[in-house]
Amino acid sequence: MIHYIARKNLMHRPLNALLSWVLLSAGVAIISLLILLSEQVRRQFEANIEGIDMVMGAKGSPLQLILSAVYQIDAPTGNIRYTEAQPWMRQRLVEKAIPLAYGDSYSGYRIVGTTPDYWEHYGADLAQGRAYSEDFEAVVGAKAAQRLGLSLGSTFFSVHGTGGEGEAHEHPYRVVGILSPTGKVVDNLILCSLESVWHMHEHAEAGAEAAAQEITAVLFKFRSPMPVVQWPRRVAESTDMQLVSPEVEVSRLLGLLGVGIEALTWLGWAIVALAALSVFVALYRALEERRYELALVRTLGASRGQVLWLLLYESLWLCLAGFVAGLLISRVGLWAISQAAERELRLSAAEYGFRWAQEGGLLLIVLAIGLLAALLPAWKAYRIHIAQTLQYA
Amino acid sequence: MLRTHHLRFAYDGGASFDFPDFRCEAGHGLLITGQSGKGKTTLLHLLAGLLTPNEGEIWVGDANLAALRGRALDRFRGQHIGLVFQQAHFIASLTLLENLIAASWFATGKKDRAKAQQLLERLDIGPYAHRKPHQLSAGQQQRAAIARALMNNPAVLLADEPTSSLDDENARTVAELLLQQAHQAGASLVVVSHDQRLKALFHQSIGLS
Repeated sequence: MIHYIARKNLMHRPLNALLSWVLLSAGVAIISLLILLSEQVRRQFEANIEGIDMVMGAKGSPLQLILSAVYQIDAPTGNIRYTEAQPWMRQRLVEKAIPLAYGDSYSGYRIVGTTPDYWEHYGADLAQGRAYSEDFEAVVGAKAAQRLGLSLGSTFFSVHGTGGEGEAHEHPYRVVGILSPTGKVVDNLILCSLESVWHMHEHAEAGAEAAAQEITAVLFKFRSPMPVVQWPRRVAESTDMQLVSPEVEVSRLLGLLGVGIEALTWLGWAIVALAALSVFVALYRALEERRYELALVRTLGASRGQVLWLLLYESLWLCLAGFVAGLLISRVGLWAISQAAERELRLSAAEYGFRWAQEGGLLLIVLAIGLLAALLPAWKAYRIHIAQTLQYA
Repeated sequence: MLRTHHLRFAYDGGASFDFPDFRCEAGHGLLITGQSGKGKTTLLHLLAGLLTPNEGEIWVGDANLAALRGRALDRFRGQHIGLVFQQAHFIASLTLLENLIAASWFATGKKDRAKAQQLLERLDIGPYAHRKPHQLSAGQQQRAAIARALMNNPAVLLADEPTSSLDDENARTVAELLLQQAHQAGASLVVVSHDQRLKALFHQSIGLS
């Protein structure tokens, strides 16, 4: 009954509660969205570097090399000669070395020349068809196939560069295999042999010998941690290439993001604090208006404690409503962001479930703040002198 | 049955009152009149257990109200005393019916919906059961306040200037309703008022001076 009256009181003058509710929803939405985003960015980034110890590519920004070679979201740092990379790839300590050659795209999806090791590394299987064996045969990632409407036997013309516009090549690719979905970067790629990339460019730049035998990057997995320590320096000193640890670069990137996320989280808390202040003001003003009503409730047999809880519950229900609304808004926000991220960055797989550890903690804090904001008004209600209040009403 | 003995009350550093002893049988009405400042409302608040007397006893049946404190007093008030004020006040966010149900819940912990409905019918405001209090006229509100005061079958029904803000016709109706309902419920009715119109209706009255 006290819960019921508390809720009715909130609904009775909705404008009084509106500001508190809106502020609380906004604060909770920001904090909760940041919890979701930082968790998912972290997971996306970490899932894709699993099992890759080092990346070799042209000199330039190490972060750019990682973003382009591992995540396929930035331009490559440049090309390297396959013949120059090969001696490193054949070393005894190398467990796996996967060459990558970029250049072309189809409808905004990148075409990457590589070996079947690449999709096997990400745990993808051939859901349909077979691996490529000849020039201009392509194996398509699950999501790319679905979005582009490609099936076995489809043909398409690639475009130079990754922008989606540019000069179309004359020779079509033919789809011979489609991969199973993995939730990782390979889902959004079109894969072919290194030779396909090279020969396509020989066609395009007839007469020029340049494009042949160039690749963009090599993904390394080692048998021992020794090369991770020693090779980067040797590569840097003796060649025009660099060898970069994706783990180091990713943790640096996440560290940068972390600063921004932390700043925004503080903003969220500031809004929650404003909401608490607004709850306090609303309850305090309502108390002045409802003084007589509360005295009356006491004459009906309500105890001081019940009147106290009437106000506390009012605040708690308001905070709960704000929390739920904030949670919903954060999910809508996550959905919108993941749509955009998929369009722009080809990162995907958003998870909408409740995060018990972090959001459960957020709920407890919000309720505690609600309790705190209501404490003084509730205490004044507790202290109401019935006879005086009734007499001077 | 309501009975007082040597009742005395003093405000902190202010006026003090000695009240005459009186008794009011179950089902009967007692009118207490007096000029402003003679302690009419103070007496009513003492009888309701909203103030605690400095001396004296207030017997409701065989319980001395003046000796109760805290939660026990709150409970006793809720279960045995019905209050009607000059201006009817309600929990503004609840409907009439819900206000009556709340009265039973605060007093006994039970929600007596059937009784609430029956009382609203008995006082001719059944059709307004699902309206909010502020949507009713003053006379209708006062009827609803009487209905609420009767919710827990009180032994004592107290009314503080219940007719002062009503016109002649409504005042007469409300006073008659109070007497009739007290009689029907077997409650001792005490009305404090300076409203001269009431004198004709009450057989028993005391003047404070």
